[in-house]
Amino acid sequence: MQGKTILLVEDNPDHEALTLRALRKSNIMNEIVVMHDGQEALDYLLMQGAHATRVTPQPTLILLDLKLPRVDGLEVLKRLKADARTRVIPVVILTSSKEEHDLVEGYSLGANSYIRKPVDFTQFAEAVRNLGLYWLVLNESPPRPAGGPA
Amino acid sequence: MKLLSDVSIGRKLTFLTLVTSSLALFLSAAAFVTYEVVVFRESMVRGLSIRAQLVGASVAAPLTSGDARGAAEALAALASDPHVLAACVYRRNGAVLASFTPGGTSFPFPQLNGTRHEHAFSTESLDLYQPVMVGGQPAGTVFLRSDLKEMSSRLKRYALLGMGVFYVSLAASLVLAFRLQKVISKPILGLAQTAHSVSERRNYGVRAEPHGHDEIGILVEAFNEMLGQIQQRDAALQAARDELEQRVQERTRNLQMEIHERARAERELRRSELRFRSVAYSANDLIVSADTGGKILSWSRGGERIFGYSEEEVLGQELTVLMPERYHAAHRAGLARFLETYESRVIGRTLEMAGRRKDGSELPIELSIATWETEDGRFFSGIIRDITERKRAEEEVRKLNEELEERVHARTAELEAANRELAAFSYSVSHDLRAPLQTIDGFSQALLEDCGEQLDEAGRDYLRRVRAATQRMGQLIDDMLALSRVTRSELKREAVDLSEVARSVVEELWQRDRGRRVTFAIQPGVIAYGDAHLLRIVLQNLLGNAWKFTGKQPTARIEFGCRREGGRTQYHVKDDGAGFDMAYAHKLFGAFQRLHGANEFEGTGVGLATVQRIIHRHGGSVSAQGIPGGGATFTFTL
Repeated sequence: MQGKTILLVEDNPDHEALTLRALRKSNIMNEIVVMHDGQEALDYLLMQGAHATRVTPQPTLILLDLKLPRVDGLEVLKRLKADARTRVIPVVILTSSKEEHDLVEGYSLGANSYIRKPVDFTQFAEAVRNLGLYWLVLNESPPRPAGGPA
Repeated sequence: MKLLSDVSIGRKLTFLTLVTSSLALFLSAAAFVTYEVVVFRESMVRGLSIRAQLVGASVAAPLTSGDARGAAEALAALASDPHVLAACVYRRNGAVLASFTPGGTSFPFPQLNGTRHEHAFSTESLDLYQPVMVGGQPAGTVFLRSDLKEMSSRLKRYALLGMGVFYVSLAASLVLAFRLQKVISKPILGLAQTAHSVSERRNYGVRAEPHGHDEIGILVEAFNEMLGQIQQRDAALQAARDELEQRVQERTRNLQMEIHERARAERELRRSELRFRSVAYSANDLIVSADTGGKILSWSRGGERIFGYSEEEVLGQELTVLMPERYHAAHRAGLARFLETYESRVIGRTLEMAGRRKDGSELPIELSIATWETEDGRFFSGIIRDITERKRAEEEVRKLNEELEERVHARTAELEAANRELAAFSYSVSHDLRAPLQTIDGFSQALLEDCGEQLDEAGRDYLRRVRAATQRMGQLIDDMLALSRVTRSELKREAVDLSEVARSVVEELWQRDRGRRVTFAIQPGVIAYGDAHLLRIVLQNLLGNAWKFTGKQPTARIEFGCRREGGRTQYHVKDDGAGFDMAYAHKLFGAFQRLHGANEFEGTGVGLATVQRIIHRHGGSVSAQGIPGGGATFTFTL
C-alpha cells in the first residue's frame, strides 16, 4: 500500500482531524493530502495554479466533502470526471447531508461511493475504514501513465 | 175559352158536343119557324084577300047603287069570322059606304083617295085593301082588318114543339156525348194519369195502357217509348249520380280531413306565431326582417331601445341605416353576392360588429342572420343584440384576469424565491448544523478512546451523556429536514401496492430487532393512488410507531388493512401496545409533540406530523383512536 496517496478535500478542520484520526485508527498509513476548498483541490489534481509544478503522483483515492467554499464538491466531481487525467481516480463522497439529490447527482457524475457523515463518529470511522480498505486494497487502480511502483 | 182551360177534357168534350148540337138545333129551329111565319103570312094575306074578294062580290051591287043598307048587310056576314076586327066599303071617291065592327064598336077608318090594292102588317093586325071591280071598272074598295091571333097561336105551338125537340135532342146528345167522349178522353186520361204518377213517384217503369192505332194510340206509344228512354236515361243518370255521390262523399271526407288538418296546422301556426310575435315584441334584442333589396319590413320593440329608431321611422328604410358608413359597401356587395350565388360569409353565423344608433353613435352588437323563402319571395331576418354591457364585462374580466395573472405570477415568483431560500436553508442546516455536532461527538469519542483511562467513571459518564445528547440533536435535525422535504417535494401520483410497501417496512423493522415476538397481519392487495415515496414514509412512521409502542410487552399484534366507508377507502394501522389518552389526541399530530417521556419511548415527535402532512398533501385525512394500555389505531384516507 506504500506510495499510494489519499486526497481528502475537507474545509472543516475538526472533521479533517477526526477523519484523519479515523483513518489512522484503521491502520491506513498512506500519505494523506488535504485540500481545504474545491478550487484548491482542482488546482492540485489538475496541476494548475499554485500546484502547477506538482510532480507527485496522482492520489489513489479521493475523499470529497460536498459542502466546500468557492467551488462545491459536486462541481469538483464534474470537472474531475471531465478531465482525462483525473477521470479514473475513484471518488468517495463524504457528506453530512441527507439530501437525496446530492447523492443521486453525485453518482450520476461518476462518484464511486458515498459515505454519510453520521453524528455518531464511531459509525463514521468504521465506514471510512471499510471504504479505505476497499479502494486501496481490494480495488486495483488502473496502471499509472508514469509507470510508478505497483 | 179560358173558363174551360181548367176543366177536365171529358167535360170539355161533353160541353163542346152540347154546344155544337144546341147551336145546330137552334139554327134549324129558327130557320123552320121563319119559314113557317113567312108561309103563314102569305097564306093569311091570300085567305084575307079571298074573303075581301068575296065581300067585294057581295057588295058590288049595293056599291053601284049606293045602297048603304045592302052593303052593311053584306058586311055583317063577316061576323062569323072571329079574326075580323073591322071592315068597311069605300066608294070610288074614298067615302065609306058601310062599315062593320064586331059588336058595332066604332072604328076610325082611314081616309082613302080613290081605290087601293095593298096589305100591311102591323104588330097586331093585318090591313088589306081590295078594290071592287064592276064590269072591269073599280067601283070601290073593301077594307079588312084581321087580327094575328091565329098566327101567334100557331107560333106558340111551334115554339113549344121546338123547345120539346130541343130538350129531347139535347138530352140525347148529352148521353151520346158522354159516351163518346170516353172513347177519346179515357186513353188520354190514362195517359195523363200515367204521366202524373210518373211525375209524382218518379217511377219511369210504369207504362200507359196500349190503344188502337189512331192518333191517341200513336201518342200512347210515343209516350211509352219516351218513358222507356227516360227510364234508361234516368238509370244512367242515377248511376252517374250514385257515382258522383260517392265521389262527392269521398272528396268531402278528404276535404274534411284536409280542413281538419289545415285547421290544426293553422291553430298551431297561430299559436307559434303568437308565441313568436310576443317573443319578438317583448325581446330585448332587435328582431328585424328585410327583403332582398335590404329594405326593412319589420322591426321589434327592442330596436327602439338599441338603435333609437321607432318602427315608423325605419320601415322601408335600407338596413344600412343601422351600420356605420364603413360597412355600407361591404353590406351591399355581400347582399348582391348572396342573391347571385346563395353563398354568404354572414348568414347562419353569429358575429360581432359595430352598429350605428339614430344619433350617429356606435355600439357593439351581436348579429345573427337567417334567410327564408316564401311564396312571396326571399326574406332575411336578423337578431341584433346590444352587447355593450357584455363587452364591458368581458373587458373587465380580461383586466381582472390580467391583474390576477400578474399577481399569481408575482406570488409564484415570491413563493419560488421563498422555496429556493427554504431549500438553501435546509441544505445549509443539514450540513452546517450537523457539522458542529459531528465535531462534538467525534472529539467526545476521541477523548473517551484516547484519554478514557485518565478520567474517572463520572468523567466518562459525562462524556457519554454529551455524545447521547449530540446524537439526539442530530436525529432531531434529520427528522426536521425530512418533514420539510415532505412539504417541498413534488407529488407524483401513481398506483401503489400498500400491502407490498408494508411488508418491506416490516422487514426493515425485523432487521432492527430480531428478538421481538410480534405478529403482523397485513391485508394483501391494498392498492392506493398516491406518491409511492411519501406513502412509504407514512407506513414507516405508523408501523414504526406500532413497533415502538409495543416494545415493552412480551408479544404484540400489528395490523394493516383497509375498508370502504362512505365512498372512500380507509386505511388503518392497529396495534395492541401502550396506546394513549384520547384527551391528548389533538396533540398527536403536532410537530415535536410527544405523549411519552423520552426515557419511556425514544422519538423526536416529528413522525406523526410528517404523516399528517403527507396525508394532507394527498387531500386525505388522518385520525387516531387509543386507550391507555389498550393499543392505538391510526386511520387515514387519501
